[in-house]
Amino acid sequence: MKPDLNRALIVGFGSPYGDDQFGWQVIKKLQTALKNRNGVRAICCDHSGVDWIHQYQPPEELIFVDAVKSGATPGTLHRLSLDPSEKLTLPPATSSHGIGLQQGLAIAAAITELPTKIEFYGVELEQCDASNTASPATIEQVEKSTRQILKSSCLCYPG
Amino acid sequence: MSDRTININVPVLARVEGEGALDIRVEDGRITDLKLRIFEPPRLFEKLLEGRHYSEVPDIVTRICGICPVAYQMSAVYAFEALFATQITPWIDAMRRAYYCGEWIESHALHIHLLALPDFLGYSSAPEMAKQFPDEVRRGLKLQGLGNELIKLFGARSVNPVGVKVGGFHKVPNETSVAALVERLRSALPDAKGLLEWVATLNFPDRTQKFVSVTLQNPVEYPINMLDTTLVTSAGHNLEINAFEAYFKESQIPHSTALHSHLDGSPYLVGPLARLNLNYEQLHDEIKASLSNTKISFPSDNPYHNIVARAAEIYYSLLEAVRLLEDYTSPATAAVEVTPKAGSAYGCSEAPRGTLWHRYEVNDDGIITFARLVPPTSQNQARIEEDLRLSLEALGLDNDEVTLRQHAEQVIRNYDPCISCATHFIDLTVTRN
Repeated sequence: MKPDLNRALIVGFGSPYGDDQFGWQVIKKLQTALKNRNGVRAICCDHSGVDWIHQYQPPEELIFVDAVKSGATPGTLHRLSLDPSEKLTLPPATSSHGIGLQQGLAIAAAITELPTKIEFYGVELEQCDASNTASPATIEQVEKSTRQILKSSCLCYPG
Repeated sequence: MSDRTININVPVLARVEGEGALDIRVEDGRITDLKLRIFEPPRLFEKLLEGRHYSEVPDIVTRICGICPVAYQMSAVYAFEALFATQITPWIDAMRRAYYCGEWIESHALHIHLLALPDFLGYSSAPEMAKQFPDEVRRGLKLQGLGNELIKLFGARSVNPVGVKVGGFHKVPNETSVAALVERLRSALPDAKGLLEWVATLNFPDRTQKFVSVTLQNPVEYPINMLDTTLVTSAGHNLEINAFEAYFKESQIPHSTALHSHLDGSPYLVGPLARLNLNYEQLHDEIKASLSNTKISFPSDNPYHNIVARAAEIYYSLLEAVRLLEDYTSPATAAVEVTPKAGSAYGCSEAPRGTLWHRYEVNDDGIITFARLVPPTSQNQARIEEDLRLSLEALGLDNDEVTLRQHAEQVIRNYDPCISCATHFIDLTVTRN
């Protein structure tokens, strides 16, 4: 395998506030763990919609990490596999200008080649107040999610 | 002329800063009622600011908008610095200008590529358009990303950034980071030039309208921040920033929770087209050269040329950011000392969508006792309604409801990303008598 091959792009969405920092905290840990892995990048994004697209280079595997709110117990980890060839059924966008991940993936699919499988890790948030403190359940899932992502298929190759 | 009656009711114009709807009634071939309804409950930011220390304001007002937070910060800090007679350094003023350029780039690139262009090219959505125009969309997203990077450089993040304080910045960017970004900005200049020249070739409806343009003006540079500026209009006004309230009158209307604003009793335009109409000579020569090769000349009285003005301002912002940052050296300090005093603080800057005016009353302890923020979105509301009426009549009210609705949506999107984003989500109900 060529050392400079684009292997994976892991994108964490969020902010510094409350449980919304989940995505960024996972990325921070991944950046430390992956610093010697060629071809793997972990980046933080403020906007979930399209901010990651110009940083994506085919044929990278794509993994998204974010806090979610679905009504499940706070701290629940949602792990989804998205097939970009199928119509995506993510929840309606609530990001700036209504351009969320679903819209972003649709635009990305139109202008570039997406991998056959896209992974999404989301933790059910408990609170998203203005403090810099995440709830214990979210902090616990930062560790667990980081370990799971490091074990995912696209990262399982000789570093 | 048809004698039919049409009610076009657009019940939800969901958007970031507000929620609205559009109601149009056509009777006997003429518009008898037209309302751009903004019905989101007031967000009460002005009340939230009361009782807060002036130093907290930049970090509060940054939360007002996810797309133009820099504008809110800038109008606020220049207001307090004017009241406190704070002498910021030329470095601070220049870096704030560069920071603001990032916001213009990201906001304009978002609006052009994901909100407005599908209208001009005949697509129902940005993803549909992207299939046929992948290179153009890729270029637009690259530009938007660069704008966000520029905001992050000074603000730590692109959404609700926190790097600004009254008196300067919290932190000085390091020279290595700036140099790396300057190279990327410089390499994107051909993209901005290409975007402007491409957008100028779009098929624009011929819609000349009489309207008054309003903008900040600076004797030496295209207006962004407040220092050395006055408020000028195409009607001949040249006003100090603190004279705004004497000329621009806001009023509550029944169908909107956002205030309508009028100048001498009439609607007026703020935003990229108004800025370009009154500040064309301040553009870089490269931009004038690109525009001179198009069929469009400024000042323009065609509201559809707003998209060209946005593209020109992206090009301007890139050129300006490179100019401001290419010889960057880190200063000894990122901010100057501030000594508060009581009084009225007036601030103004040019947000991506137009002039953003602030007034704060401050007591001896530096506490805000009153705040008034006049955003460009509310200033343009009356002009949008006027444009809708004129444009639909020019299009022809005999057109079917779908055509009328699509045209109305495009007219709204021409003005403002807040409203524009909303019109992507509307449902339409047509009632015929």
